[in-house]
Amino acid sequence: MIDALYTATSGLQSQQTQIDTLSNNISNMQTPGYKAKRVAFGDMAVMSPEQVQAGLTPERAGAGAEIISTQTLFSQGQMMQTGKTWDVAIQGEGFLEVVDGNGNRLYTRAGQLHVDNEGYVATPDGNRLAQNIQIPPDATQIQINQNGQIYAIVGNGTSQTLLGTFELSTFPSPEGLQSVGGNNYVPTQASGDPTVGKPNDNGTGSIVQGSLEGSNVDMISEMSTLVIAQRAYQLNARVLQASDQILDTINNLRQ
Amino acid sequence: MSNIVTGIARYLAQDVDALDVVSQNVANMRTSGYRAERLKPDFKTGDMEPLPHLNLADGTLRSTGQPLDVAIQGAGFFVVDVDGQPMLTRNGQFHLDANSQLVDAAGHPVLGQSGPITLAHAHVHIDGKGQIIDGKDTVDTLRVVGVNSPDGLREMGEGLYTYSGAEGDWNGSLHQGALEQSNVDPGVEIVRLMALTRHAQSVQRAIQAYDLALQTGINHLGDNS
Repeated sequence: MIDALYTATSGLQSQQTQIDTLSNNISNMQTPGYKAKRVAFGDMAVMSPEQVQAGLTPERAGAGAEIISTQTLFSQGQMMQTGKTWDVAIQGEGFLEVVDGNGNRLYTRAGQLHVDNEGYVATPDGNRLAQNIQIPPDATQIQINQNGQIYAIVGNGTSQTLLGTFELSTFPSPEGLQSVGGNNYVPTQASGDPTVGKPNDNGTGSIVQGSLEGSNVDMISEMSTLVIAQRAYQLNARVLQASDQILDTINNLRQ
Repeated sequence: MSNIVTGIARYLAQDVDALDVVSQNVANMRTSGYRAERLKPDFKTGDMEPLPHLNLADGTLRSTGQPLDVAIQGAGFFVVDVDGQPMLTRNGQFHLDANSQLVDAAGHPVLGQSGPITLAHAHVHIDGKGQIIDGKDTVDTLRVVGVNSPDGLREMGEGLYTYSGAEGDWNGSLHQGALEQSNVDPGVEIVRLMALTRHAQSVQRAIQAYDLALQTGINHLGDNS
């Protein structure tokens, strides 16, 4: 029958996914450490991979559009100064490694940390840093330097003591990381295994205390994409309508 | 006699084929690197040629700021490796995979002068001729195939094309940090769509007129009233 109907439907569906992704980006514009996602469209041909391998060529127009991949963009977000002791931003490509309640290792760039009731440094959702850094309750004047070393004055001491060091993990292909919500990611086969290193070491990036990394969502780019996506959706709807009209003409060939 | 009806019906079938092509273009209006297609008439037979022709005009560049997004201008295509078979693409949305290889959006390795390209990190400079420069070292040069005869291109899905024609010179340039949008022109497509629906309606009228003539011929000729 008329392939155009199904082709136009695939166009509508991919624009729908585009708009969903955009709205997710826009609603997370103010989420510290959020990384924008974008979709990559591809055309669909009327052939199977086996036929392509066999060297055959398609005889008809293609079968529409599809989403090939949804890519997370790991470009640096803007630094937002907060002045809070346990807010840390990563300037570079590294991730903080945290352990959730079930012992899974997760990776995040959202450095809104705090000290939990047992003195461990943890993220807002209660996952402790994998390095298990414990801060004594009587520690004051906590300072974190660029290399991730945490210094503080403990008790009535006069000099600064080193309480622990942040470690940062990098991945061969951060785009392959799987988002698991709460700004956490888990490694997959596509991302490769993490390499743990000290901050400022081999591209891991440096630690900035008293700042948070804002999301890297670019509002202007999102809004312009939204406008284009909406128009593309409308045009696909028009094609659907026209296909229906031609079908109607065919059905009424002899009135 | 009946070949008039079949002849008219063939025009209707051609409208449907042309509609499929319009629909494919519109569905891929937002597919980076997609080339608009058009059915052309074969002037010898008067019929439409079964395979669509590709329009190789450049699409609009959209700046993305991503270091591994590369847009191509001029009649050239990137070469990617699909299960051992080289295929062409205009979609320069590249990234690094787990083995630090440069791959396209669907994960096919992008080919340089001597096979797949391995990069230490994504922050490289890519110049107008496709040289990938990391610091002071030139790592590789992206392979770009110039397409002389667009008729040799076949759409393979996922933004990929196969090419059977001769490789030509590519005198265009590459732009890092941008993606080339599809070259589908919504205005052209909507006009085409209107023309097609109206043409189908005229075909319908023609069939009805012929039907009426037959009806008169068969049922009323020789009536003596």
